[in-house]
Amino acid sequence: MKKSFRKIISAMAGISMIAALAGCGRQAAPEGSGAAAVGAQTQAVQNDAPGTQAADGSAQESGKNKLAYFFPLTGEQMQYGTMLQRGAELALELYNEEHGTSYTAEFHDDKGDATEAVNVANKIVADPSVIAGLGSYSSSCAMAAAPIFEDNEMLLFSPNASHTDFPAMGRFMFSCVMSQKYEGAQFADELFKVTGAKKLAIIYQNTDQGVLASELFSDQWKSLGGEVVAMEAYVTGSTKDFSPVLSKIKEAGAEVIYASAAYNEAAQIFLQAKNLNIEAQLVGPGMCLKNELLEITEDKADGAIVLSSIPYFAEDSAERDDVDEATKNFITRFTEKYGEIPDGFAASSYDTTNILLGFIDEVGTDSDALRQKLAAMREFNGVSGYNMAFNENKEMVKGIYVFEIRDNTFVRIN
Amino acid sequence: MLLQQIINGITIGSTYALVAIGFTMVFGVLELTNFANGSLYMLGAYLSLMLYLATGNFWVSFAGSIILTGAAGYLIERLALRHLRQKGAPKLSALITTLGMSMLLDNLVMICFGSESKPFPNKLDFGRFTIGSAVVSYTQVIILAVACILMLILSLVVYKTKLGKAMRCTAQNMEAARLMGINTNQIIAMTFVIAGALACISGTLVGMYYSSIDVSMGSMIGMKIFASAILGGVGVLPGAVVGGLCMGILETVVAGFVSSGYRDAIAFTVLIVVLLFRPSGLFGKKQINKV
Amino acid sequence: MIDKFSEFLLVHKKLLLCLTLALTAVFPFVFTSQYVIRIATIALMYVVLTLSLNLISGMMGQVSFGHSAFFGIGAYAAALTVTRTGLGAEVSFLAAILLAGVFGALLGLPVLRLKGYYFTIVTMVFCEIIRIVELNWMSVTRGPLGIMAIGKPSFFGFTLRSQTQLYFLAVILVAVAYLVVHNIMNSRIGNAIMAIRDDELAASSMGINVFKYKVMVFVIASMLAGLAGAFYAQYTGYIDPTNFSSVKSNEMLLMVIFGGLGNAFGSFVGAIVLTIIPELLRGLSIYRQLIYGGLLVLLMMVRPQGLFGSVNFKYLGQRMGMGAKEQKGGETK
Repeated sequence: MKKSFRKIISAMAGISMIAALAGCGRQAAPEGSGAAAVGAQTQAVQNDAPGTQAADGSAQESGKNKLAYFFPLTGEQMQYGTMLQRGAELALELYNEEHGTSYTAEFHDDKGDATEAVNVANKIVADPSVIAGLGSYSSSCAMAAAPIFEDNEMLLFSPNASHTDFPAMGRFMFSCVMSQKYEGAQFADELFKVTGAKKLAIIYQNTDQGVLASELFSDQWKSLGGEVVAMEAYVTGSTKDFSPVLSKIKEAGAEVIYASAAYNEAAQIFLQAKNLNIEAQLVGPGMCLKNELLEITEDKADGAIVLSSIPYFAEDSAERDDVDEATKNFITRFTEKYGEIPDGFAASSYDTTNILLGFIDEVGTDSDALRQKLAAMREFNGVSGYNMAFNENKEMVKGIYVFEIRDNTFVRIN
Repeated sequence: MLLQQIINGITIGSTYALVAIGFTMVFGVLELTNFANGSLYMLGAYLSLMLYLATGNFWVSFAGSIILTGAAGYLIERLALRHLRQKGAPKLSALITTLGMSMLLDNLVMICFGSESKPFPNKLDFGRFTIGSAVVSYTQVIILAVACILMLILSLVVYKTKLGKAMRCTAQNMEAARLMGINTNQIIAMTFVIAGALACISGTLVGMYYSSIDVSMGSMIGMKIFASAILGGVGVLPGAVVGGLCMGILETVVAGFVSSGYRDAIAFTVLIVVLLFRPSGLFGKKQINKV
Repeated sequence: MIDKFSEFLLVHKKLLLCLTLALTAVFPFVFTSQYVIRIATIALMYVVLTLSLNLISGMMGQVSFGHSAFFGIGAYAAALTVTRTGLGAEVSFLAAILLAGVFGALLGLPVLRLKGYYFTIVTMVFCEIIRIVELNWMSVTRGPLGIMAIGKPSFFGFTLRSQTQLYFLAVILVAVAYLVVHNIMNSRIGNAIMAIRDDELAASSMGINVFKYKVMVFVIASMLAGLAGAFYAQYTGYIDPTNFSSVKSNEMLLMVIFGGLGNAFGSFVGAIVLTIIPELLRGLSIYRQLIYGGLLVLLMMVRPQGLFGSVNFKYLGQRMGMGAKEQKGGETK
């Protein structure tokens, strides 16, 4: 039996090879049947997050009225995915309210994993009622999913993918955040102006975002005449103790320390720098523009600077004069619906959805038409930034905000 | 700068040591790698925070959370592991069970509290002083002191009391211990309670030191704990402390002088190298395999 | 109940085998959704991983938490070969297998001498070391940026592009893995490693060179994992270090244990079930890890040997009075 079993296995291999050859030439075309069978499931994630809106009545002529989102709704990046989801949900609700439309949304969980993102993307493109895909939080997920959207000629409009290579991955790839290519350099410009310092040290998280951001920042700094005395990477998620790195940087005599890190790690860097009696100017990127950072550092991070291409929403932003109506509306409705103030991620997701819906109303659901509209977008002012535009490479450029932490809150100084 | 790095290393090392002690005790008694130790560490920190937010009194909350985490340790043993022991299941099953428990705990806390970092009050913030060019904070001193005191207390218990003797007997040979009239189930349960309490203390101290906690702190530290315990020799109490301190110092010195990115990789590689020359760890006793 | 089921399987073995083969062959033509074919392909890839892990941990009794390290090494080897040189998959797959094997030896030689639990923890540590290296070695692996645009596998000029073709490639890999495992377990090596699992001391006093067999099997299993890694890299087209963490190792181990330690058939079951269920339960994905944890605990309490762990097909066949010719060999307790 051993022998004949082996024969069967070999036969299996043989049949497979023949079948593979026979299958040659078959294109990877989207099919509806299987996807429907396995089911596109709606995400009802957090206790307080409402389910997605039901489609009622009037669908578009093409039968498409759904926006498919994919975010990390579980795992460590869940905190960001949730905010992104909420911004989108709110945008849809308000848009439908205002325009009497009935667009729906579907939220998929990519768990922050590129393979999952690919699985999810396959699901999305196979669904005939989807107009466009929106996601994810991390560039690696968006970039893993990009080829699938491109092959199926569906728009992928990401609310947070800032990787320099993302827009170039296809005609249908757009991102609603500033591309790293320009952000890093502009941050360096602003910082150089504001501090007038020369010696820079960078501590950056070892992710695609961190690596790119720090490289571009340091290149620009050097071209402005500054000096980069240290560039230290750390493994995000498993590093909490930065004192070795900070001691090293202290020795190197840095005048400015740029922590290209998420808010929790930046908070540690700021705190530990103070604990080591470091007097250099501490700087953080847009990811730090969160109340959580202030809660952790309390008043110890006063004096730190935060650079961002997305604004900050404080407790009292809805009442301030220097904040425009649209933003006020956004903050108020968001706080009403979710019980907390929105952050930059929610704002970005909100803008992404609104921009897309606006264009859909103008030119319909055809991906090609939408893509052209996006590429031609200029001078858009949304809740997540001002002077937003896509340049000839489909990369987003915007204005920069510079904040300083004073009395445990972020104060805009530019 | 070397001095600064070493001081930082000792601080981190002490936090590893505290948890490693509990881990190594469980290992000594049961020959079980307790994956759930890291989760208990994280649970302890979260319980301290939650109780504090609820009651407003930190030290009471701390005490409460120690008790609760100890209880959690007890529950793990009582509910899952004792059953396996009685069934005579292979050691692997117990190992996998603790892995499952750890996944359960980690994700339960994440679902309940979210994955963001939570600010943690630093009640030990008494300022800093300098030694030469190095800056030392009182928090660091206190952490080291607590670790040393606890180690001393535990050593006293294990080597000088009847309870300790019972523990050592159970560790040496469970069957014989039972024959001697020792209630091994109780001893094992006690070990888990101690492990839980120690993990909680360490977690809370670390929370204070960094002014923040998050759900992944348990898995972050998990591997370091195993490494510390193995480095020092599993089952040997002083070994856990030395192992923890070594790992801490190694990690910081490497991060400061060689590369911050590779720090853990290098620390772990050193562990493997040490094991090549001393397969039972630094203080471990060479096991003689009897037929 | 499992025993009854296993007996049923044995009795109708030929029929069931033909059915399974037929189903496997026509699967992508019946279920034409790209999504479904994709899930099936990934499940098959996990079968390869599960089979190879089962070889070390189940059949040889050395629990390893480091399997995803070799998976990753294979993936990077293949990815780098394809993107840097543009050579075909026959080269990249080979590179993956070889490199994974080399690392298997590098890790195995020093570490397999250690006692069981030390070995287990060191494999976990090793997995982390490899991940950190992958994350930091920018010049080679591009660190967190990962390697992109990895070409689809192309053997001697023939490129496999469609999901269906890649599915069949996965089937071939599974066949290869199974053949390897089957042949090892039915040879002297198999007897040796089972003896090692049951009682190392007794085995060595019987004259078995324990260390030699441990290393041999560890290296072979690593090579299979590397093969799966190469497939993964060229199938998904993009890899980065987060795909190869110790969480993945835990998931693979869960698949092995679920299906049954030491039982190759169980590995098929474990891999396929545990790939499909998360897809079906997408709605519950926040609770996924929670469910896995609970599942593990429950499994250990109720059936610690996994579904088919205590099923010895050979023995079962003998007991049922089947002649020596008709037994399904190789799967043992």
